[in-house]
Amino acid sequence: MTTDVTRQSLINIEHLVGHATLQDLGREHAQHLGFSASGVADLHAAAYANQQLGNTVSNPVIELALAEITLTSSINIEVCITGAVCQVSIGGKTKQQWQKLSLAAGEKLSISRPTNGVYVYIALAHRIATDEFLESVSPVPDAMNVTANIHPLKAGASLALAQHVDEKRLETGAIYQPVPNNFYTFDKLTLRFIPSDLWRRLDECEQDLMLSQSYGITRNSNKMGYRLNGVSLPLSSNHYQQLSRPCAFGTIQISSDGLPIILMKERQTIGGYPIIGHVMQTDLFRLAQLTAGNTVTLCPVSLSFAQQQLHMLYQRLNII
Amino acid sequence: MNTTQQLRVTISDISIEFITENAVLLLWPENIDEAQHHHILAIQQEINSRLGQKLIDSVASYNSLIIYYHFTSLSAEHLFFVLSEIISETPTSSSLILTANSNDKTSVVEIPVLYNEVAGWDLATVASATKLSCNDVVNIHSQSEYRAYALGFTPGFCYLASLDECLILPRMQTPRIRVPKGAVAIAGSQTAVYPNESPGGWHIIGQTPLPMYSLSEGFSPTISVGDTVKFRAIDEEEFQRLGGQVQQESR
Repeated sequence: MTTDVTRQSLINIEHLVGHATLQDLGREHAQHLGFSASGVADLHAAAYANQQLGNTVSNPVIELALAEITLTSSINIEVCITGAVCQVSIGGKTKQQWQKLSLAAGEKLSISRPTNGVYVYIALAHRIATDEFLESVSPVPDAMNVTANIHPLKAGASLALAQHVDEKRLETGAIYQPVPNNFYTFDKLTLRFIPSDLWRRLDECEQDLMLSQSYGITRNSNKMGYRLNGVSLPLSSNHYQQLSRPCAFGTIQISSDGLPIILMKERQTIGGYPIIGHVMQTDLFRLAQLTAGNTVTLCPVSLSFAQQQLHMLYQRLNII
Repeated sequence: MNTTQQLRVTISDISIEFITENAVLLLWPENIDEAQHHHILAIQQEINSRLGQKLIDSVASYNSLIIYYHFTSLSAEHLFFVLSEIISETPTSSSLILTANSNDKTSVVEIPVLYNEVAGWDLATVASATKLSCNDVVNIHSQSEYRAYALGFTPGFCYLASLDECLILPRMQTPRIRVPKGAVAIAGSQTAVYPNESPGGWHIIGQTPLPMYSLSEGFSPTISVGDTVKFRAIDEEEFQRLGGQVQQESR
């Protein structure tokens, strides 16, 4: 779909503090080889940014994780900044997030470290010409040598732009959505989850213990998994002797200390801890924006409700 | 049947549980069993072939199989119907293993291993904990054949079983921050090779110079799920000739 790469058009990273990577939808189809699904942590924000520019959802975006960045472009280009709350300026003038913005050649786009949330996304109205591995530009966590040409972004680096000949983009055009003010919750997010068979076998007191408390997000949380802190739920030892089985996005494992770990985009593909359910995906995009000190509660929902919510989000963001 | 209300249904000892918006988990009885694993792979192959573009991926493990699917184009109800059909049509575990053995299609992967106390960081500890000599540990580990049950943890890491009962030990209480690339290790009834340097809590009894994957055409793991694996003891000279460089533990 992308052809005629013009290496002259560049995005130059003038300043970067923190972790920044190129990300797309990841490698969900390569989990049978042991690859983490990976990809954008907050699909809602990344897809929204691409949608504002008329890009397809798989167009690579720059993902900033608690980072600040200044970049320039060698050509006039449209951009969209979404995700965590931060200060955005172009040529020294404050700009809004969640909108299509024009960045003139040589102008500086500056994005501050987030004041609320974790991940900020920068979508560009051109495809970035970069290496792929197993059909994704996302770095492979814990096996960077597998993808020697795919690595985190650095200050002083330049990203080459392909001329945008994404056919789908030309057909679709930009689709403007209202700014999603109510999507994110930074104060006590309720994580709705699809209960597992193990959850249904817990007694009422054990279920109440988990549903009635607020869990704190610990500092040991990252894109691989979110570790929660609270009153532990000791499970009988036979639950910990089960054979390792595949782990999905949103798996709620109970670690040996009786506390939940929620598996995120860079999870391992297989794990052996007991599982009480899976957080529905629309809430996982919200969870990805929370950090140590934020709190969450748990609430069971049906599979059909979770599917309906995700389907609506996909439709709104033109993912299907 | 309404799978959206009843999330888990059991057919012929196999439970089918719709665990997320786009994933369904099939669970067999909690055993490491070659015949059962043949059945899992046969069902996986049939699912892959029947679902085509509606399938995202499928991952098999010891007694489980997860199917990731496009829920916007395939309903849980219809998928349940397809899975029920496949399960009822796929031959039982015992007849499958007979067919597999008679066709002799299984690949045998031989892994050269330098077993000594420099390469095998935990060889002496394992010998002591199992009340065996280091030589016995090496002989027992290298004389058995292992089945590749799952790829996971990190790209190219293959879970192999079953270890001889006299070598079974729990994982280390505190995992190491750094296990070297090529470490041959054991834990519980499993053995494996670490494809890259990574954290890990298994007991290291040797090192192999054999890479666990190739990047010449995308990504090809050295061991595929369903393969048979044998370890062959080699000396330091052969280890070096094969391109190996012993990684010593830094204390």
